[in-house]
Amino acid sequence: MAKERVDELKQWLLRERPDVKDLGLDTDLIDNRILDSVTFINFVYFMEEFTGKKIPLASGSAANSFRTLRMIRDEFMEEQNNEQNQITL
Amino acid sequence: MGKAYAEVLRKLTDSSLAHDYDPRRRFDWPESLAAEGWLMPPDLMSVGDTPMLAALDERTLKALSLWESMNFYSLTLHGERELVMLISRHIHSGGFESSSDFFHRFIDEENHHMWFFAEFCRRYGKIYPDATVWVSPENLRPELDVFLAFLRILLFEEIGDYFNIRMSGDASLPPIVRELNAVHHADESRHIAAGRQVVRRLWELLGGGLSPEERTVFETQLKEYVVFTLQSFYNPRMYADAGIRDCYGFRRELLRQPARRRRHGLLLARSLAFLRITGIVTQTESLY
Repeated sequence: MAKERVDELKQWLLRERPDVKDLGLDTDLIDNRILDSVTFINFVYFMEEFTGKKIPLASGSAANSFRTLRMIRDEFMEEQNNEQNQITL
Repeated sequence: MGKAYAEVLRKLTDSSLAHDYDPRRRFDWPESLAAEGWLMPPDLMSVGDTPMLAALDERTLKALSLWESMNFYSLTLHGERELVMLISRHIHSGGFESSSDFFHRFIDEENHHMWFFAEFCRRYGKIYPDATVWVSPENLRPELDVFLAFLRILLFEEIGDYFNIRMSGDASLPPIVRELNAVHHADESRHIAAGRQVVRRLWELLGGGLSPEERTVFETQLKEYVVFTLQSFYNPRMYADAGIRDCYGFRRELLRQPARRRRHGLLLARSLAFLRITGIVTQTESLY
């Protein structure tokens, strides 16, 4: 279940960046410019729609929580934390 | 250039001082706004020129006009806070001797604007949180970074002014809305005039010489700023607040509408013309 949900996020990112062939759980989405400021906010809205939870952005540290798919999963998909060792991408 | 530049900024500072006002005494705030009224004209809203405008019933559309206006003023005050921080970092640096005095007035006026837009939002709706997260990792050389910062300030003010001009003269809007937009426009017209001078000056100091690599990064960051700013007008929170069920899908659908791209072209028209005339960017179609 957790793998499929993280896969959904990965697929969204790959649709936005067709030049990127694959993404690992620990690929830095910002340093590798998978996310820029525009795709970042659209990704946040996709995440909100997907998880049904609002993501507060005003904290200023939001970008750091979105650096990798692993961090996103751990921060915003709490119910999947128990399964983290089973996820591979 | 140096003397003429200093003279223009001095005149703009004098004009600002001549039009000085106390924002806390400047406006008559009504107890409430008419529940059935418009707060933003429909064609200025994010649904303007699209089939979604006709598909929404009038009650939802009027509710959306309230929340779109809250979003617009929230974007304005968050953006102005950023401008004040940016400008404060530079006004006592070398190269800003002629503009420093003007920018002290600029900060005064931006502080007025932040106060009255926040007051409007708190009295009649709410302030939407700032959703800006800049994640661009590339660094530009300091002079180019400063130039881009002041160019962003100019674009931000010109986009906002498009709305201010329209709303200050729209008789269907409440007097307080017209008045806020009129006062903001009066101040912003000085900021825009000065901003164009400053951007031209900084561009000249750069010598127009961007390496091909620098130009690519510069135009990428500029485009990112323009697109981000335009997309901020499609805040899904305001669609949800107006009672539109699928707020994310609604936003996506609006952003796909060709009519919205045409509207974005109108919003940006004078800024893009300025970029072309100055030679800062020649192919402006690709910026939005």
